Amino acid sequence: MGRTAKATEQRLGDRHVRELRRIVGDRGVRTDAMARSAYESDGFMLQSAAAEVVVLPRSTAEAAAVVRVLRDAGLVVVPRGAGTGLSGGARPIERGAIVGTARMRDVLEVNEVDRYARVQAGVVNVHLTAACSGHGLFYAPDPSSQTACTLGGNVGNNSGGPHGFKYGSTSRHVLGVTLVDSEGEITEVGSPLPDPCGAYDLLGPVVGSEGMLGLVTEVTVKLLPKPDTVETLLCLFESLDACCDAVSEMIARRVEPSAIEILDRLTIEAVEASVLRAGYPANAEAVMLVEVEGGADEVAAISEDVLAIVRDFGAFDSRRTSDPQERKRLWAGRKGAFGAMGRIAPDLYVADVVAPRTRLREIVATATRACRERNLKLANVFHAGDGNLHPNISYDRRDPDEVARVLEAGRIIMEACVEAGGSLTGEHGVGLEKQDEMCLVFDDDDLAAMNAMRSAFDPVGFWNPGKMLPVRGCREIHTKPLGSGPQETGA
Amino acid sequence: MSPIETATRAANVCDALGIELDPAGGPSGAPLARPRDEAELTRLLQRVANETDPPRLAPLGGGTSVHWCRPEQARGDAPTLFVSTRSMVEASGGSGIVEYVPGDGTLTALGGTALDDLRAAVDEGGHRITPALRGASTIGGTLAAGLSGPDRVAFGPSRHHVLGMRVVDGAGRRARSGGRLVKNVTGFDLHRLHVGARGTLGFVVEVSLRLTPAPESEALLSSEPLATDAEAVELALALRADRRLAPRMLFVKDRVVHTLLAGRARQVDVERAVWAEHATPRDAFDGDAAEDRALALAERDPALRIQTTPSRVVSAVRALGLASTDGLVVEPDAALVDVPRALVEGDVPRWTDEVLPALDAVGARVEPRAPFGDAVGEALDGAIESRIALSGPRATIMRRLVEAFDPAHVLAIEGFPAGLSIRP
Repeated sequence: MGRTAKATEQRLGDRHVRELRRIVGDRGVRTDAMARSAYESDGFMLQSAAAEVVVLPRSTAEAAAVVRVLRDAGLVVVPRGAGTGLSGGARPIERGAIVGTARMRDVLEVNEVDRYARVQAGVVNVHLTAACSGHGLFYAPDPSSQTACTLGGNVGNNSGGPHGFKYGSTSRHVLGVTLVDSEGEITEVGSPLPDPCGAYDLLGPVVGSEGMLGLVTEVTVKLLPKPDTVETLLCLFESLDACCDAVSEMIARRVEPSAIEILDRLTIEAVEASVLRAGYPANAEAVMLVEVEGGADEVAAISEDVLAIVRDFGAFDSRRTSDPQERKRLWAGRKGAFGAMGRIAPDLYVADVVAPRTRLREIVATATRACRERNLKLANVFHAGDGNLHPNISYDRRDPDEVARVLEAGRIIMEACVEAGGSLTGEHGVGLEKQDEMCLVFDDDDLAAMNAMRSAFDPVGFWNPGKMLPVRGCREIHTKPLGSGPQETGA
Repeated sequence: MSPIETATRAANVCDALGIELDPAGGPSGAPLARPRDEAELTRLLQRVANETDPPRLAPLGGGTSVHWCRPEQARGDAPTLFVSTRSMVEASGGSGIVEYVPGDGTLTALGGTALDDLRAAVDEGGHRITPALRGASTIGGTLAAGLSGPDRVAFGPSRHHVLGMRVVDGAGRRARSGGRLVKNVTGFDLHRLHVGARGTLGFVVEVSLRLTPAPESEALLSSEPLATDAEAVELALALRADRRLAPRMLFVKDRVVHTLLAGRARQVDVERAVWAEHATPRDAFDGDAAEDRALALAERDPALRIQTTPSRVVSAVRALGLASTDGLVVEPDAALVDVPRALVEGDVPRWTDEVLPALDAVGARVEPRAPFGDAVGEALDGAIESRIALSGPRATIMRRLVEAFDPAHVLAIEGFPAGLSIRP
């Protein structure tokens, strides 16, 4: 054991470390600096910090016991799934421990008749769909990181994914969770039964709470029957604007595919240059990837409508396939787009904003201008059907000036979205990244109500303190919700 | 406090604040305050919350779920002053619709807007609202009552379609959560907390909803009456299990299975043929008449709601042991069984002694939708409440929520959340 590890144990207290090891075994307690360094940030790489200790329980009972020890030690806790989050929600905090779900990977039950599954929180998203595939069922939320991200993390961030257009984000699919509170008590929130019975819906606020209301150790999710027919359409455009306008038109005409995604030219080039090569044509300025699911006749009718609209908006080519292998290849390109962009620059700032679907073109233009003016490389890949944009800005974190320009561009994009009636985040969460920007959307009264709700779950501020809600009041941050009149200058 | 004293006190509060009062405009002739806007409502709540012995304020929308929200079960014997949310719509001089964006498929409306008005407005843009309910009920009241429509088999419960909300809590503090976007994870989902809270955490003053596209074609298919409800539910479960069908509504009423098919015309025709493999339709309605008729058939006013899972719903229906089941409605996918008052009244001892234990045995939960009132009924209420009463950390969280959002208990209902007493 090295000096750093010894020092940590002294801060934490040898008694507490011994107790943690007794509960979860030696492999479940990480105190040495090398092991803890793997947990210093999540996918939001601009900020990092060291946890005092990382603890990896294997069960709800172990997690509850761990919480009691950490509480006794005077630490606060950051819950963590796979660490794929992109807003800093899983970044450690000072005097804080990480409690991770990496060793909680069991699918506990798949109920075919009642169409639900119960899993440990560390089950990887795509593994759940694999586990229920044999039953003719699937789990709908499919974040791009689904081969790594966990169900518990999905609950924390109310994760979305391309198919959220039809099926909605995680909150529409979670039936219940097992929650460990700050006393180490275990609470069942929700159930496979349809509605809360004589009680408030505690599950609603828990989903998307970014680990601030408790530690989710088990999740019960709704499963859906696999659709009879699935088609994937690839539509090619000479202009990103036209591609955006075609999506707005589909929404306005109430066409109902299950996913509508857009990738721009830089993204296409990155994907095609990577191992995820999907066969996206290099001569397109933008591609639209559309999935249509349902009965065969429904799918045929919707696909025909989609093709008619994209032709009207200038698509110069389109393909339509129901071949599983070809569909898989087309989607692998989309889902691997973030990874493929690693070829462009060492770091990637993945913005996550939402615009009203009538104003897609306008926000994309704002992002393009903001990056061009700051000499930044921008690639767009986004859930167009939901208005959920991901302007991806490439940068090198070793260049402080470039980092500053990236953050400035990110803020401009956020403000433009909020001014247009949009929001700060569609699926990545607020975390640390957008904490102060919460005041663009909410005022002090709104945030006070959120704080009050949080305190009802966690009166001592044990879970992930200092995230999501601005630490300072909006008046102190010198901002107020956009569109609400002149800015106050503060006291 | 006598009704006259209650009315006098309500009149004094409203007079002081310049708020219109209808002295007997509430349910059972109770006084009804009619604030013109959110500012008046806020002042009313602030004033009442600061009184030493405050009356209870009960939000009143269309008044259709008042019996279920149990306004008479106020804190202790505090008098109830009903507060209209409809009055804010009427005073606005408009329809109550704040914003309807057909191109984005979203709607924002004042909480006191009637469902029928919302349905009519979005119909012009080719949309439907979820929950698929109709009538004078308001959207705020419907959500506060936690009601979903028979379309939940296709779209899930109504709480899944609330994009954002503005509320005024029991201390007269305004708060907003969510927004008007179909996708948004900015901040905590406070609005989900208010859905089904029966107005005990605050007044729902504005709601944003995700809309669903009106289908190109619809057909309502109704079976012949089956011999028993259990058989009808088994047929409905077979329809649910047939992956070739994607019904918009599927429910059993009076031993008849009703299925609303909706979507593209070609698909509806295909599904109609699939449906016919399971049963012979007694009635079929197409076009606009299909949804109207389905909604009319699905209307109910249950005294008890039984919640279970699809795999147990037949057992739950059998556990009722009812000779006559007129008015019983079952939604097999959500696994809800709604029992009308007539099937319980006059048979309460059997419900208390036999039916509730039988439902326990099949893992079903029973929730009262209206108190029965008399001494025998109170025994049933008590037996149900003892089964669903909260305890442990969940009860603690809910108590803290009440303290956070209604510190003076001016919105509280005794026994809701189940098992929590707010009597001093």
